[in-house]
Amino acid sequence: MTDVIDPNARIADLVGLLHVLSNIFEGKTNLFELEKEMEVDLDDLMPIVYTASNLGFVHSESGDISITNLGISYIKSGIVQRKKIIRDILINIEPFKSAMELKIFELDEIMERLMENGVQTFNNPGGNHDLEVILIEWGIYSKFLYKSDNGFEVKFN
Amino acid sequence: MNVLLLIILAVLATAGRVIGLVILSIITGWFLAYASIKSKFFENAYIIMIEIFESVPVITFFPIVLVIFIARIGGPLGVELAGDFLVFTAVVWNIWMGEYQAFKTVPNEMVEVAENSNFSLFQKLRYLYIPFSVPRIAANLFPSVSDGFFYITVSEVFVVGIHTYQSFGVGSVLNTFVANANNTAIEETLMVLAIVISIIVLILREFSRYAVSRYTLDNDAPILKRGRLNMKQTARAFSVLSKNPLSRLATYYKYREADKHEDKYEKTVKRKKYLKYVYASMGIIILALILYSSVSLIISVKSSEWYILFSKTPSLLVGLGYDYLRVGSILLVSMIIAIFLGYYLAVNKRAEYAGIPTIQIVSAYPAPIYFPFLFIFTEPFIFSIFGGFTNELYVLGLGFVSTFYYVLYSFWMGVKAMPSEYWEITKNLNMGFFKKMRKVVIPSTFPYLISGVSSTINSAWGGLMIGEYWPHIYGTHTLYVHTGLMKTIDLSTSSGNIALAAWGSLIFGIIVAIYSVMFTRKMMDLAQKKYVAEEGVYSA
Amino acid sequence: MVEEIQIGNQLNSEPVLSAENINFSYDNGYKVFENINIEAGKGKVIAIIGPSGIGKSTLLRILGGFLKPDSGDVKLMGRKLNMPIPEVALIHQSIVTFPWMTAEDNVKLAMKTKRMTGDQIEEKAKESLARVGLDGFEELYPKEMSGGMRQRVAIARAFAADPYVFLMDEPFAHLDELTAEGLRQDIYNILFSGETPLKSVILVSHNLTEVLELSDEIYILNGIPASVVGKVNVTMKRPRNPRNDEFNANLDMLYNYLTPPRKREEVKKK
Repeated sequence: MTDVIDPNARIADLVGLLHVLSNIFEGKTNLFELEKEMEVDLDDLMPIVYTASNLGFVHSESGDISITNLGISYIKSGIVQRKKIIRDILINIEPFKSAMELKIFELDEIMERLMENGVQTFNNPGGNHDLEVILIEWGIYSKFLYKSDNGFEVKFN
Repeated sequence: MNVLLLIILAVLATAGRVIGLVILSIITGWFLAYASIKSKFFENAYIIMIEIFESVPVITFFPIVLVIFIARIGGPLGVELAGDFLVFTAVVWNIWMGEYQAFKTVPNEMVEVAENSNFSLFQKLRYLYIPFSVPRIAANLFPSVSDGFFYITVSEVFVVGIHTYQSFGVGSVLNTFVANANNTAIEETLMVLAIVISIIVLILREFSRYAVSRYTLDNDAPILKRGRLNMKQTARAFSVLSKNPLSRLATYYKYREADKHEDKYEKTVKRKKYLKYVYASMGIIILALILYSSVSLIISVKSSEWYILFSKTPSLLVGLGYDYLRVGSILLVSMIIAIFLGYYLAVNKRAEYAGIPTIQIVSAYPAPIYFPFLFIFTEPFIFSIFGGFTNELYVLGLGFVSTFYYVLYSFWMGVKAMPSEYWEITKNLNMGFFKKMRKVVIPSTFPYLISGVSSTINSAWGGLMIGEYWPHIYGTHTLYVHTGLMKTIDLSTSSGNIALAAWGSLIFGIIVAIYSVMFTRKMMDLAQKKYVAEEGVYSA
Repeated sequence: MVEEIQIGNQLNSEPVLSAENINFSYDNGYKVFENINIEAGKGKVIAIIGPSGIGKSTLLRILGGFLKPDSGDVKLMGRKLNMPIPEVALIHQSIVTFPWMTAEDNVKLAMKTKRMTGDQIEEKAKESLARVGLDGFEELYPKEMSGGMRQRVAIARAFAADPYVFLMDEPFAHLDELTAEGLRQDIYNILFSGETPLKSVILVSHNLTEVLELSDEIYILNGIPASVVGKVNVTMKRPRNPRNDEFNANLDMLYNYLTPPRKREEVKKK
């Protein structure tokens, strides 16, 4: 299955997760410990755990979670460098893989392309909105995309 | 002159008047609303004034307005202003109240941001208060515009004694065509008006949608809690709230509510004290103008005339009693239709899709324009069945067509706003249609129903005012009822007995205001306390 | 590593923002604050904590000139502060962005009353957005952004006015903990980056872990009317780890101050 950014994952969550992992837990812990420490519930925690894992910032397996080298270098970087790190990874992750194929697109078009590519994550009543949020939160933040008057455009070469 | 061009110009003149007056209401409302959030004194005077004028159907002001504008100003300008003023009083209250409520509910945090940046008065209005009031204005635009059309068509031609006053517009043009029995031109006029009204309604719908999506806040704490807001849902909730065109419910409790949550921080920096005096004096000037006009009216009446007026009072009251019966029956029929049709529209997507815009367009199409033609075509048939009761039936009919949309529309909105959990419960308990209506739908739409009822009552008076005495509705035929206060007022206006007309209006105004305080407000409070369904479901 | 110091301890250098002998009552006569003294030094994050309802947010508004104390003065670098000014920027708990404006226009609001040309304002707005990581978001509306991103817009707006002091009223309380943690780290890193005139931050929070993580000095309010019952200098080195013993010992001490006043005295007597 293709790696996808979870509709509920946010950039700040990634920073939060990596910071907590590297600073409080010295790089490695159990998910239940993490959940207890952060005082969040499953719904809040898992989207970013999946996403961070898909992006390669953490390694998560059978209830354990640890930060990867990429994760460490991310947390140690400044904003500009962080954006670049994310930008470089997004090419291999949906919905940005499909965005790369389209270059210039509107929401409906990328939705259609995602279906063709077998990505069902956004195929639900609130999916259009989720997709837009993800494109903005990750795509525009990392400067992978920019928003023009008639939709999105891939900026990254 | 090319007839079609004349028609188009006339329709545009009428539409221009309505829209211009709506814009005037919006702009004046901003400043008055700002004055009232800055000065307690002004606020109290302003709100009382709005509440009184809002509960008295505008058309009853007409005799007084005529005196002021025709007698004092005179000429075409006086005639134009008299009509405009009547329409202004029809459209203005909703909009003013909506803007006031909006200004009153601007979140304190936003005001603090403006203060933090040292905004001037003009900047505060431009960047904060005015944009914040846009959804409320949008919500009030539709009823205001349709009220405006309703009254403008009757105020373009009116008769006082032997004088007929006209201002150029669809009403006066149509009047000429009817006099000349120019049927083609009449049909064309009706068509052009229909097209223009449809366009306006469609634009308003779009604007309303845009206003909700752009100008409403959605940073309510519970939704934001997770740092991921579901904007679609909040936008939807807001669209229902702000679409409530008859924000009368809000009218009756919001400003009191707003007082309560005044400011968390009770002490505010009291700089620019002098502004308070500016606002207070604005309030005093407005009050003085109202007082001046009423006093000048009173002293212009001779004492012998006062005697006549007092002796006629009992018969005026009897007429009012008849009129209340008429309003009651109009309301009853409207409510029954509203409850069934409104429910049907709310639960049936396809019917709703076509039905709601149609209803909006039809309701914006002024009844006084098309009613005479309806009368011509149906009168022989109705007369053959109802005989001597025919006129009464038509008057009730006019009252009905000019008003039933309000309650229908409100009820429809109420059903739409019902929490989905309630629907699930009715299914879960296998409720039948009538049980569902009685136990769930009607109670939970009660606030909407009440606000619709109050608007319906208000507009029904307008319908009666026009219908109870309608000279030459076609040819030599005059529509009139046997007894009714509205008829007395109409008759005395058109025979030039302005004193009696004004006296009748005054009595009517006082009684309606008392009624509104005793009954409508009570119902509003009750609705607010017990029946706000949105509060019956707590989201986790 | 933590030293407790007595109230009224004077700093040598002139504080950036100071409150001197603040007394404040509500209009109904209820006395909220008695003789409050607070000093925010250069390069410091100052936290104000206290039981709920003690008036932390009200105090913050007095410090910003939004409310006038009955007696006492608030001074910004020695000059009396009588009304809100852009140089002392308030950042709210509820995220305040104006939905009818783009991110850039939201930020520009802070400069409307400054003597700047249109170009300067635009440049500054872009720069402020970039500082909080929102370059590329200029034309987006708040409704298109997540809560965390919106709070960044609000912070960028505060930065755009070239403030000396930030007054932060539970700035992360409306975000869920993970998002808040990330934003806290990001924001802390840019506070005193040296690229802005920002000199100190006053933070109100009920999240004691957050307070211990971020602040250099903590003022503790308690009692009716509220007064400063304690001041703590936090000298733990950064980044601070809420799981280590020192951190927990400090937390415990803060809680000690926050138990009801009478009980605390009894504890002391024993």
